[in-house]
Amino acid sequence: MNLLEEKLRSGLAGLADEARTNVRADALIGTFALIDRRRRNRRLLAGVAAATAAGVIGWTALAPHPLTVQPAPLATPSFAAGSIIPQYFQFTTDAPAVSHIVSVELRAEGSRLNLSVTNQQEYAAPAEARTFVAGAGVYFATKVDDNLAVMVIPDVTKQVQVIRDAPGSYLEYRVIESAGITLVLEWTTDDRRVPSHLSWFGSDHLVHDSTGAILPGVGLTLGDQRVTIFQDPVSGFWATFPEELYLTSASVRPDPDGAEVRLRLAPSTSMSVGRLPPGATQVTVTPRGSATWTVGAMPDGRVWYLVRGLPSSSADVSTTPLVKSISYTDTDGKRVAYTPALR
Amino acid sequence: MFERARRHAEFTDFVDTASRYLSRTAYLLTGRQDLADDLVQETLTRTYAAWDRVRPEEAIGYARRVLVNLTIDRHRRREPVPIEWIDRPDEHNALARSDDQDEVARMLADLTPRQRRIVVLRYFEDYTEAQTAECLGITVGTVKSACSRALAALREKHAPLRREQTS
Repeated sequence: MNLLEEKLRSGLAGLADEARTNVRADALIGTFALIDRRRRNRRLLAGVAAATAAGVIGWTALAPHPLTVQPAPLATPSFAAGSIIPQYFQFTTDAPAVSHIVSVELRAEGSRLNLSVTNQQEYAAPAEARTFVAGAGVYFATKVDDNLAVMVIPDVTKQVQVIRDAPGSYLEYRVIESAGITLVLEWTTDDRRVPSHLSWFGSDHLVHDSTGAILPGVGLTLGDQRVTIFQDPVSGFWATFPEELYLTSASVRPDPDGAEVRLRLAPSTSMSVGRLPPGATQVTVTPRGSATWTVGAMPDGRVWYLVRGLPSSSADVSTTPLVKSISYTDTDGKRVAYTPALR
Repeated sequence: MFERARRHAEFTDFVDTASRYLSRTAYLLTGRQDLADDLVQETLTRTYAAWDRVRPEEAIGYARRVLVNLTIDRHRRREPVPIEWIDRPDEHNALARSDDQDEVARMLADLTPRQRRIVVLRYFEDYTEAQTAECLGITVGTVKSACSRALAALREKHAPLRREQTS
């Protein structure tokens, strides 16, 4: 071991001694109780859903009946009047090393949502607030200054991500249920172009983007995990909701054709996806070990598969394949088999 | 009811044992006490949510991986890596901080977030290159090259070390 490595070992140990232990079990009891309650509720809901489904199926089988669909009454979007709790965000730049506190005050007035945004450099003189007006029921995006953009998504979203290439872009968002919106702040490390093109998984379980389009996608479910794979028709980038943990840009995502692309959706889950050739039908995935699989077709007809390994007791960081081989019937009616390349 | 009480008791024991260890690692990874506290709290919450699937002997390893993943996730999605700790040693320990610690703190500040994670795992956690790669979800080759670049950058910036190395 050389001098530098010795210094790192001893210095890191000494530095770590500076850390205080402020998290105690008794302070987390409330969170644990909430987790327990959610777990119980999920079980209860699953039971109720199963019982309801069984009842509906049974009733439907016994008494076929026509379904009459009534269009939903057209809502006039508006906000409940009043102030909404101010939202605070923090962004810290690398060079120069500066911390910024961004506050957003929201005030609702019928169809208008007034935003007052302050980008305050920590330890600096107070910054002037900039005000903007967003409308109810419409997407709103604007630059606040060279590095900061604010967006309002008119939905209580489940997740938001940038899907077109935006290196150096950092998102933070808050779902504000009382106003029915998601407030998004984007910090970029340069002033090239903000705001970025966003996509989000909406309360309707569809993937929307900031142009107002609904992006084509397919939802695949294995066990308790549902993954929605979607594609941006403009750039061709594909991504998933839930969003991957370590993805820095959708543009670097591997080509899914002929491949097994490992997903990092959460610790302890091993999942892979891939896309079959055009026209492939009767797809069979032969997984490794006890992995489970399913397939589904995008609106363009292309079939995607999802494979899930057994839940791990530790975070999934392996890079071993979950698929042995895939076979399908091609457009000429022939059976074709291949081993997907791990990407 | 008894099951829940058992979980709580088991996990409380785990928190008592693991929180000091996790706090030290989180502090080195983030450089800030407040962020380290947040990360440790989130790590313990997620570990509790998965407690039924975690074997007791693997619990600390599981929590450590969750912590590292959260650090990566936080850096990627929310804000660039914080750097403020280096010049602001914790007041209650500032006097006790040795020159070596100060120098190592400055060294960490010079590293990229990925290099810092690798250095912390390799030289604080004593992970092998393979263990580091597994924990970070990257290849051993990437660990080797990133670690090598990190050490080279540190030698370059910290002149006494460079002289020692070349002498």
